[in-house]
Amino acid sequence: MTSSTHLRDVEFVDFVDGTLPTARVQHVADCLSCRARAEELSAAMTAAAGDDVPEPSSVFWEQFSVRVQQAVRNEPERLGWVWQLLQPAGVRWTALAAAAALILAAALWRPASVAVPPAPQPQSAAVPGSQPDVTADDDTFGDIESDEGWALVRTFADELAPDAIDAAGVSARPGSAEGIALRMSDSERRALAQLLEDEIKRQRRTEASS
Amino acid sequence: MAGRVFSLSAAVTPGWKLVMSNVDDRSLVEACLDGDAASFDVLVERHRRQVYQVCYRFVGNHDDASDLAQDVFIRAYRSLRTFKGRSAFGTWLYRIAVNVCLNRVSGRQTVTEPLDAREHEDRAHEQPEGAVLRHERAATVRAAIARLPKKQRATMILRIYHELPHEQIAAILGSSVGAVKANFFHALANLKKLLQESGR
Repeated sequence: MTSSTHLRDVEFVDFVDGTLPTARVQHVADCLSCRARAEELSAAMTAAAGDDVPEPSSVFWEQFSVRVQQAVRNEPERLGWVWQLLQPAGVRWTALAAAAALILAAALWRPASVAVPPAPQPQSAAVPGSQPDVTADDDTFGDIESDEGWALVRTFADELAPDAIDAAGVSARPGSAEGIALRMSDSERRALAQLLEDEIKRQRRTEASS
Repeated sequence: MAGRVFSLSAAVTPGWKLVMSNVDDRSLVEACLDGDAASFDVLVERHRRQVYQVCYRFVGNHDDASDLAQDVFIRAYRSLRTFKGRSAFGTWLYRIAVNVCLNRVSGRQTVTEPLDAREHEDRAHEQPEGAVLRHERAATVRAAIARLPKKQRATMILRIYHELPHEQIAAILGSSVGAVKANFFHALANLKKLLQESGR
């Protein structure tokens, strides 16, 4: 940046902050348009800076602290068993647990079968060999409450504070579970893989014995 | 963990405030997470003015600022486990405060309170005429700032009134330093235009 080129937006900010390099300050002194702009911005800053927030009385501050104290004491206990289990690593372990729950749920969810009569097909749409296979498996919401994967997700959801879930980046957005997995450390990924492997083995044993 | 080093609850004695003034924010957070609720009270006392002032800048009146500031501390308490200490506790609180305020002011007009509604103020030494003029000027500037786009408004409040460095504002708003400076430039330029429109 030469001293003859006009100031960029961020340089004007440096100018009003008083951090612009001397050579560039010299340009402001020499250049009418830059000087006019800088003066405008400085005037706006002076106008804004002249407005003080009224200082509340000491009585207000005492009452405020008491109000916050009472509100905080009335907050429900947020340290459920999942939190205790996941200590001390905090939110990273929350993310790990939530990711494990989401992935497990996706891998293991076998909704209970509910017989659904095939829907009548319009004659005009009937093409031999291309009939949709309408079976009980299409009813994914058939018996959700008895599903193990869903129960696991629900258990975690009951135990986690919404703010902590947000902070961990867990959401229902597509790809969010993958995002969490990508942010894990190697040891966390290994722990997650072990959890998944154990659960899949357990599921296979259950299926083999039944 | 700090809570294991000293018991804050046991420290509630006549010299309690003096003791607490030497405990850093992070230790207080850890003590609170260890179940020492009194340590959160110290954090509130330490940061309440800064939080209230941010809220006041966004909403322009004492009652709403007071409610919002309380909401900020309750949210901070609920999310205390998510505070990782990568930034200062004050920066983390600013972030919560700005989010709470931006959510609140979305689509709402800032209501600047009338002068006679400001009974909560400490104005023992002020001349009445001076107060009226000051209030009028302040109301004009606040109305103009309230019309700025959200990020410009937040940047201006944190930079001018809280005198935070651009780096800290970037951390609070989740932006780059360059973006913060660009926002600040546009905020000043727009403020200038709005003040000219209002005859100042």
